Amino acid sequence: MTPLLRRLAVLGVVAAAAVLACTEDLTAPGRCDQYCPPEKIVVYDTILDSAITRDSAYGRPIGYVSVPEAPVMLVESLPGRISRAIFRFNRAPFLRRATSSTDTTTGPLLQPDSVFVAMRIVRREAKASNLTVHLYRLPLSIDSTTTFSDPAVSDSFAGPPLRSVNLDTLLAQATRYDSVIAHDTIHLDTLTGDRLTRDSLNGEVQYLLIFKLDSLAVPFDTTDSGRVALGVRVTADSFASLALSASEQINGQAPALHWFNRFDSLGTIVGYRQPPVSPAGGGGFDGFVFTPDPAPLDTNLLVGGLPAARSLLRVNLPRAIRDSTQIVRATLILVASDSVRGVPSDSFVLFVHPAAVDLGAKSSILRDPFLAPDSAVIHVGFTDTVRIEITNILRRWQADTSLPRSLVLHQGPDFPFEGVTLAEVRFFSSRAALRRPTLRLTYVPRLTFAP
Amino acid sequence: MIHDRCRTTLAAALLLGLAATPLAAQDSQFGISGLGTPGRFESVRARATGGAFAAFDPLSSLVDATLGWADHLTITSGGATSYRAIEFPDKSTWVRATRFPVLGVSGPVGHGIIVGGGFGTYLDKSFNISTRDTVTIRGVPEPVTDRYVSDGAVSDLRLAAAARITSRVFAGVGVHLLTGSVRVRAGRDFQDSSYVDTFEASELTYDGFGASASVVALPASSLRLAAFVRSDSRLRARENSTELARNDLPITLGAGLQWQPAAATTFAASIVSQSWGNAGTNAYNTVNWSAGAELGRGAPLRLGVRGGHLPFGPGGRAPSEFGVAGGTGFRFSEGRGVIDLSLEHLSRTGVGLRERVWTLLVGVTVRP
Repeated sequence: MTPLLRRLAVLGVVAAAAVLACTEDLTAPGRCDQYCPPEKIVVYDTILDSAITRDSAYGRPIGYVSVPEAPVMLVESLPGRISRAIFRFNRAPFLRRATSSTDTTTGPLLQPDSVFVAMRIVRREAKASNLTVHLYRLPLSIDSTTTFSDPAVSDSFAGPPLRSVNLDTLLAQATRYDSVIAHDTIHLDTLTGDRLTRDSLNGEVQYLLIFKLDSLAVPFDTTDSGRVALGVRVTADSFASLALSASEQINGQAPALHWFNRFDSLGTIVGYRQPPVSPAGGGGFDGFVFTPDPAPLDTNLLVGGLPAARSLLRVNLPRAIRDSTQIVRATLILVASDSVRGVPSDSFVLFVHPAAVDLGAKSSILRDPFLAPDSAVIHVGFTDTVRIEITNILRRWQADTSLPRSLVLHQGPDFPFEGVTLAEVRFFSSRAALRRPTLRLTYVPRLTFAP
Repeated sequence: MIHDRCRTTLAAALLLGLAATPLAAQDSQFGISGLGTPGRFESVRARATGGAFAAFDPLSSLVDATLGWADHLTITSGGATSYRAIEFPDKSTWVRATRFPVLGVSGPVGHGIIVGGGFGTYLDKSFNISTRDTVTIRGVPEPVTDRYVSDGAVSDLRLAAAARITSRVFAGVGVHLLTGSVRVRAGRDFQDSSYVDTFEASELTYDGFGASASVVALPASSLRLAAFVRSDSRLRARENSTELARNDLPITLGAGLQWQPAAATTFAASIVSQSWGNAGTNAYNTVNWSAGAELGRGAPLRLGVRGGHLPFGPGGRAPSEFGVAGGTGFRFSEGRGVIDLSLEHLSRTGVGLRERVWTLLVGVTVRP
């Protein structure tokens, strides 16, 4: 071997050794009876019967979301529950207008050729057949204090409706493009002029229902500045239930009123379309009335409904578990005290959040993008025990001992999802000795590493 | 030109030394049941002879008195890559590990005294184990994977001195600071996502102390005899400054014989006894022997065999070990640099486990 070759060989060996130094692959097979470290990971599972203490429900009679602030107007005709939407539009933008473009003299707007009332159906019961929407004229005196049994309202709903529209029948009509009101493809009733659009762009199927009325049904009353109050009732073979978008719904579409007035322009009758008016703000109002009245709080836990209720649970986690274990699974077990009533579309999600501050009814929820809330779906007719995994919350409590160990149970993750249904769920509280909330914990005690 | 070669060699040595920082790898599965796997205080050259030449090799840290013939400043480092087959009765696997067990410096300081120092692995405590099992939780069988990871070692920081007492006797003494830390982590992964994977980590630190003494006699020009003793006090393990355990460390007694019948032919043998039996459970006293030869000049052929026992293993019986080794070395830069290569095969047998290990070692020695 020449000196040069020998030198190259030596450097090659050194380089190879340096490269090998960067790699390591160690995985030995498992025979932990003899050839593993003495530390053994042991999993314990226990049910803490008395871990949930000082639990309370809040939200009646004043809820976290009350009816006037609800993002939807619930319209239902169900056994044991009736709900009707009521809304009052703001005054018409214009009562008079200039008689010509060259003259400042104004004249009154005449009765309209037609009046369109649009409302967005954000949720309908899919199992309902012959779902029919009835539109009523209501007195202008309705407001947020109006109740179902208010004579002015009940008398109005007892009379004949302004119009009744069977959604299934309307959906069976041929489609055409509407460039006047909907600016979309519509199903048109050529006799009445009512129309319906189907919108699935937002995921859940919604509908825009537009009634075409005339001045006999909805007169342009200048003494009331053109204000109009209407109400909605639904009927169906079964499961008569739908929800209309209210003005409180973010990115929603509140009911709208379109006046197509006439006007005498120097002896010539011309049409004049006013900007649409809504029930939002000013002299407007939208909401709904229902019967029976919401059940008051009792000794049980209550979540959901309207007014929207929440429950607060304090967790007394044993110190030995909190400080010296790793919780691998925690399940909150709640026993329903009553079945959830409503239609299938009233099913909702029950969320469990850790409280950021425990102030009783005014406890705030911990907002942490890294801590996803735990949840369970509550179905209508549900009478079984509810099990919610709250592992993430308990592990967070272990990591941050300054947090109050309180849980907030509420419907939906946040506004606007809270307060969108009358369905509510009741659970036995810690006052019920045999059916109280319990906590099932699976944990691994802290290891002591062998030296 | 000579200086350039030295720089190249020195850079290679430094490269190996820097890469030596992450000590890892468990040399034997048997060590998990005890304090770890004891390191070998042998240079790559000595490993090529089965360890037989370690008692007469100034680059090895086994016998302090051998520093007596290190008449130049010498820096040495070694690296090893192991391929280890682990065979249980019902299954087997293999692992690969790379580590750098030795770094040493020695040289004369005047008055006939040679001083040396360095570090080596005293107890390797690195391993990574995964086991799969099914446990019943909440009445349901749940598949789980347990992971145990230990990364670190106890190092032997050595400072030694040797001198020629008479014309035929060298003597040496040394002190040893045992220090190191191990990052440990144990966890369980659940196949069912309803359960959160768990893990726990900690760092254990170790300390201990030892002293050694040795003599090498040259009764004849072709014969060398070595005798050595080393006493290590105890190994103290602490976690967050809290003492977890104290384990007695062994007293090491050994002797060696080297015979050079011809200028290019050398034979050696040695025997080492260590009292590991007091070091805790699953620990045993050991006696290990080795014999080897170095034949030729320039690029000599080195051969050796070794046998004995490992100090730790379950089952009430010390695992046995037998190995053969071979290698060679290259000198360059007029002898200022040496590259040693060694290939070693070990076979270990214990209760319920057999290991076969192939280890390739590369050593770099520089005499600037």
